[in-house]
Amino acid sequence: MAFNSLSFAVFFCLFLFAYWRLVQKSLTLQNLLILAGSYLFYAWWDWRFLFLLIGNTALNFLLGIAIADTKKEADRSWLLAAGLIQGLGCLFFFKYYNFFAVSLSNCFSSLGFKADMHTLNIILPLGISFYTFRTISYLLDVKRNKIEPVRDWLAFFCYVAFFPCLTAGPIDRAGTLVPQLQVRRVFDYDQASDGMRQILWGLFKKVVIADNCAIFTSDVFDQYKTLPGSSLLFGALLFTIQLYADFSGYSDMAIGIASLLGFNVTRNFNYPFFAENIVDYWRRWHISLTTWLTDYVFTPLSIRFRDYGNGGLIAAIIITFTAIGIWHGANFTYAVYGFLNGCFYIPAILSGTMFKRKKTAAGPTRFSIKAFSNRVGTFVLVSFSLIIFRAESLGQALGYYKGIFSTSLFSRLVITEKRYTLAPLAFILLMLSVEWWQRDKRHALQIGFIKRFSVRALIYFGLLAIVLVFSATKNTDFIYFKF
Amino acid sequence: MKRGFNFFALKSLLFMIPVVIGFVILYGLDLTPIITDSALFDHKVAAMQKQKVKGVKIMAIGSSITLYSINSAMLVQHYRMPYYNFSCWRLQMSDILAQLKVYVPEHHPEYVIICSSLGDFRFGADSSFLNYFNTSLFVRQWLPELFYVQHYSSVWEIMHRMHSNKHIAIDHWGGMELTIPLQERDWKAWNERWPFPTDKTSGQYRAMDSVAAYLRDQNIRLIFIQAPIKASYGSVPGTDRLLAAHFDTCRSIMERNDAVYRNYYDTTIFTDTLFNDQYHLLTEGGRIFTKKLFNDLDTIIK
Repeated sequence: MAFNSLSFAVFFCLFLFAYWRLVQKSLTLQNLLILAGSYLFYAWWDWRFLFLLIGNTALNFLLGIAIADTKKEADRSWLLAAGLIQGLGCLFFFKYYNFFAVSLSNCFSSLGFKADMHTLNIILPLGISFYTFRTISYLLDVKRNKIEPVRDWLAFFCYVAFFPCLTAGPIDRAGTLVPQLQVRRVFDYDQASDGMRQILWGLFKKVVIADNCAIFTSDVFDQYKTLPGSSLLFGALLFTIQLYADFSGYSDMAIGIASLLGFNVTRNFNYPFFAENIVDYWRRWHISLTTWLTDYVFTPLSIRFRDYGNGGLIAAIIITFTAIGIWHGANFTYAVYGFLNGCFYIPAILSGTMFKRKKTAAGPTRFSIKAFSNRVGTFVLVSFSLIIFRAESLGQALGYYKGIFSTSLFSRLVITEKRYTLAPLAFILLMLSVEWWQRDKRHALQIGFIKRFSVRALIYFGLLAIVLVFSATKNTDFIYFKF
Repeated sequence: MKRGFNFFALKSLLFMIPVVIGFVILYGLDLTPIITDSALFDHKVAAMQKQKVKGVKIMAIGSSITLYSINSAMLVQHYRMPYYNFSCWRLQMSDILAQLKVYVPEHHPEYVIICSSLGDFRFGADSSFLNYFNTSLFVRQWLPELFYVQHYSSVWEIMHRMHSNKHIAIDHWGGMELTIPLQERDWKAWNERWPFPTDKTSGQYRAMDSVAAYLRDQNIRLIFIQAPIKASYGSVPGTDRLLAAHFDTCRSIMERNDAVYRNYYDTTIFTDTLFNDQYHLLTEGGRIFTKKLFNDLDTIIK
């Protein structure tokens, strides 16, 4: 039940009606409905993994209380360790077991030993990376006394399974979402309208831009051996746009759906293509994951390595980014992608600019060649690293790079699916223009400053018309569902 | 004044009205939704829905062979019974079976005519037809615009499909004539031989047996016609044996299920000039075919 499917539309309309019309007077009923809806939403994909989700939630609920109620620090640490082992163990088993088994087997074979590691036919449970990170952060925060444990089981179960964010984030912390689950939600017209606008913008990005780009980028990555360097370069740049439109489109829809239910969830993107350097880019990309890893991996590591100066900081950042890479999946490509992005930080660390933040100016600004070239440079750098992210293997990534840096880079661009590629280019330009104009807002369709209703309605219908006329017929799954 | 959920829901519904109107207009303009992989099928179901085709007594069904071979106007004039040709390009026996199981309870026909050739036994079933057949009768008959959303295709894609299939011109009874001027003829297809049998052929024979058995159980008379094939096809060494084996299989299946079997593979009547390619009759060929059909069916269809 993807957000852009008819089944979800029907489910959500019924859910919304029940939520605001039938159970709006009682907090318990509101939460019960959210929990039932979330489990139905999850079971729609595969009911068997619902038990894993419920078991995981129940265990973390009990561990959270146990950690808070235990006085002895050592016991608290053991309880935390039990939670981490369970969460990371499940993640390892479902996501990484086969990868490590095959890698170890290959490693032994290359050393001349015969080792047949047993691989399992494992399906990756949808959203496991997201809800595991949610429960881990909860246990860590309770252990660090940053938050009180949640003693209301219903609120905690809703927090873990909250359906708008269950399958691909944003990864909300308990400190943000649980307090909202503990008070009765009252319908707020402005919040709901804003949610609808954000859903519309997310839908536009997903079905018009990401899905159309996917048709060309899939072809380019499949046929990279035969296509000229110019097409490969174009494909790499387009894939960066596709990934952004796909994931930020999903996040916009998730946040918009949560807004319709009266929740404010964590923002996941802050117009990353307007970043002037890679550090700024990572502050704006998949914010809920990067802040999670900053809080629970980078900060503890940098404190531990503080005696080693810049070297310690570089080590901490590289470990953090490699973890970001590996979080995406069991493949060396992700690890190398993360490592490479960690390396991109080195100049910023050495020059002492890593922690400097530049405020985003709103509206039109004077054109600056320097700022523009910085943005283009950052975009190209990101695109080049995303080739590894997109490739099936390191060999394919290397072949792709070789293809780009060949004489065919200057040959005529070959576009395999012109019908699906050229028109969306105009919409990419539209997306970037609107987002540039609205870059100080939480999402691009916050157009409350336009006072005339007719103009606003024209914009909504215009966008809806673009979605209906130009969306890709072949819907592709949200890329981050597989993580 | 504080605006509540009712106001919000009403406003959201009002915003959706132009979209619904848009779909109704598209449907009215024959920019029909993409339901299956077959453009002709989608076009035909929309035409049937608009015509409110019901109570068909003589049902023709099959692939392009049935579609082009039977001249609808001649047949309707001759038998003066409700008739419709449900055929579509590339339909295989398994697809025919799936369609019959939906159309027969809706129309209660008395006779089913299948004109067939080797091409109907070459591929597996087309699962995209299930998009249509698995949808409720109510939606198919009264709310076909829902297909725009249910099997979503962009308007751009729909227009593109319509443009590439602008030559589709079905008559009032679902039939089509193959009228291609000599200069526009695809000469590559003139002597093109489709690979036969394939790994799917035996499965399609089984499906054919199921078709015949199903219609027998429903007390519907099945008339199976082996369509003409161009003379040059049989002139290739070894083909005679292959054709004879196919004809025998079809005949025995039909006889086993009390169905009528006729074979029109006659290169003296159906000469090369009547064909568009190895298997498909041009308009004039269709007329001769339909006349011959009357000679055989007059004793059966009453």
